[in-house]
Amino acid sequence: MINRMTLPKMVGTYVLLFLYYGFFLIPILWLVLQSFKTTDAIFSGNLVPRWSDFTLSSYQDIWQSSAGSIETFLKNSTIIALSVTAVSLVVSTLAAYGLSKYRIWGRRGLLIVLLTSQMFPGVLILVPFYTLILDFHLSNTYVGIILAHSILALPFCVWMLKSYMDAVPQALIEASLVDGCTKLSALMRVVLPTSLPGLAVAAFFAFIVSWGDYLFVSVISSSTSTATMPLYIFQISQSLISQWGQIAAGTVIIIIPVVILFALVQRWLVEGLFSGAVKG
Amino acid sequence: MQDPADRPPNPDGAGLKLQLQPGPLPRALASVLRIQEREWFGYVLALPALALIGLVVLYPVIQGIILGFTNASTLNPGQQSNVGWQNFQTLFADPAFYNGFPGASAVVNSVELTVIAVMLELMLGTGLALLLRNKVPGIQVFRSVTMASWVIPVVARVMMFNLMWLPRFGLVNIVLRDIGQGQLNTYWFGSLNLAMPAIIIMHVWRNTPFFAIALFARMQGIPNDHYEAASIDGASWFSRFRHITIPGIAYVAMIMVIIHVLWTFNNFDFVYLSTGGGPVNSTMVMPVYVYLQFWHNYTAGYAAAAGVVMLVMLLVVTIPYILTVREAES
Repeated sequence: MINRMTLPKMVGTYVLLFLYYGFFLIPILWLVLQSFKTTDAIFSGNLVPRWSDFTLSSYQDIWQSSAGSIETFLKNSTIIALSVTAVSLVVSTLAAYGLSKYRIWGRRGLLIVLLTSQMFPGVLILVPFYTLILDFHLSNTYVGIILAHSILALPFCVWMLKSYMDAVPQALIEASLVDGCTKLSALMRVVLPTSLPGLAVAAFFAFIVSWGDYLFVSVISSSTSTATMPLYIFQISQSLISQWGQIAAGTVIIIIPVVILFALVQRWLVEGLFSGAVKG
Repeated sequence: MQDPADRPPNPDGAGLKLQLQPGPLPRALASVLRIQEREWFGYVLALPALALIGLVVLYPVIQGIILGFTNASTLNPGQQSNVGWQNFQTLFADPAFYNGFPGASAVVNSVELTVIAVMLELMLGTGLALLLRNKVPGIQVFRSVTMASWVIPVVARVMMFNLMWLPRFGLVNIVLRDIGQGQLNTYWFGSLNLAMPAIIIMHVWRNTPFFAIALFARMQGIPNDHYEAASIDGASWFSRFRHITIPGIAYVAMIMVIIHVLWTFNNFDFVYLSTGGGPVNSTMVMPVYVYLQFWHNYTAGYAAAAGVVMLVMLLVVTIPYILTVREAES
């Protein structure tokens, strides 16, 4: 049924595809367009811009904005998101290896605990979590935020990596052990190279969880020294009322790293996400 | 799906390498020791992840449930006493939480948002998955950009949709004016009737691609000769869809529905960052209610009680999910 494609069917397919992708892409394109327009051009409410409407001033203004320096927020976001990626990758790789290749007692129970832990309402965890953060003096620190984000990403990363590692034949690992690999070097040399797509998706997932989080940062961070980009964008949307050019520019800046990383992992993303949610 | 760890260890591979076989008894002893050693190492590997999750998820959840029965406040930490079911009585008497004006209470809004958004995502996602199967030129480009809307940070998504709904110079209102419907000009996130649809649209915009790609991947796994055989038997497009495609994608679709129900129901930032629950509580959902009670009113115990109500509602969805996944595991 797929091979025989008549002309009307082809035209129909394209029409529907353009409707769908118009819906998905127009908000993104409109945002980018607004970020390059002068304030007057934005307020004029014209659908089609003229050449004189284009400017880079929104980007210049936001870089020197009085509402706080975007550089600090970008730096905080980058440090936190990269640390979260590293921590989640190491911890979840070890856990996934243990749960995939070792027949430990209570293995199934542990997997169910992992799966269930993603379903608790974030806001219910937030209340006692905040007390925990205060008790350990982690309020307004990178460590507190990194800890929170790593936990958000972990269960999913463990499940996803476990399903990739399940596909590595046991015989391959045994053979490497016979050849003199230690247990950890078997993981590094045999299991990890075959699970690379899984690792890429896990890293990407951990990064975007941290990069986009508002809830936990808003509670843990109490000053600009630890606040991240989402807080900044929300803050300027409240304080720079109607400076929509600058808000759009800030939003484009927060999206760029995510889009670049997405382009890199795109072809493995869905399989990885899906196995993180179900396969196990 | 068979789990490699459940397979018997493969003695052949190792045996081939060893010319001198040890006797049966030492060999049995060695394998017992080896298994125990391996188990122990498995725990070591899993420990950091489980400890972190235990400390930062399970402990807070239990603490949260206990807090729900106290009058704890973030203003004077450490001073709290047990108040029994009082928080829950107050909750269910609060019209912003339950039983308020139609469309103005958190429980009803949460359920409404979750049900409508996930239903639309399933329908639109299935439609897009069917489209993506058509091998028209350039289809690969469409397939590869699909997930772009999924990865964009929530705060960016909210700003993007702000630029769509803004009065006079938001794209939607510009288009309405240009087609002569200027009298409909309004700020969607600020409108009593349109704020909830606007939030549903944001959810649909984000999640439909994931539905589409997951279902599309599953459809690719259905053998083509099933369709060919049905065509030869004269089955219509609809009956092939009904009898081959739907049974083929049912499991994946069900899992997708369940995880999206959980994600949507638990979601906090879509609403908080766009409408804050307003106007007049018309988009107040349970996570935002909990956050506002905790972070703006400082009533931690009361907020935790509302969280407990969420937890109970979630269990209704989570238990079938776990049973399904367990079944698939074994």
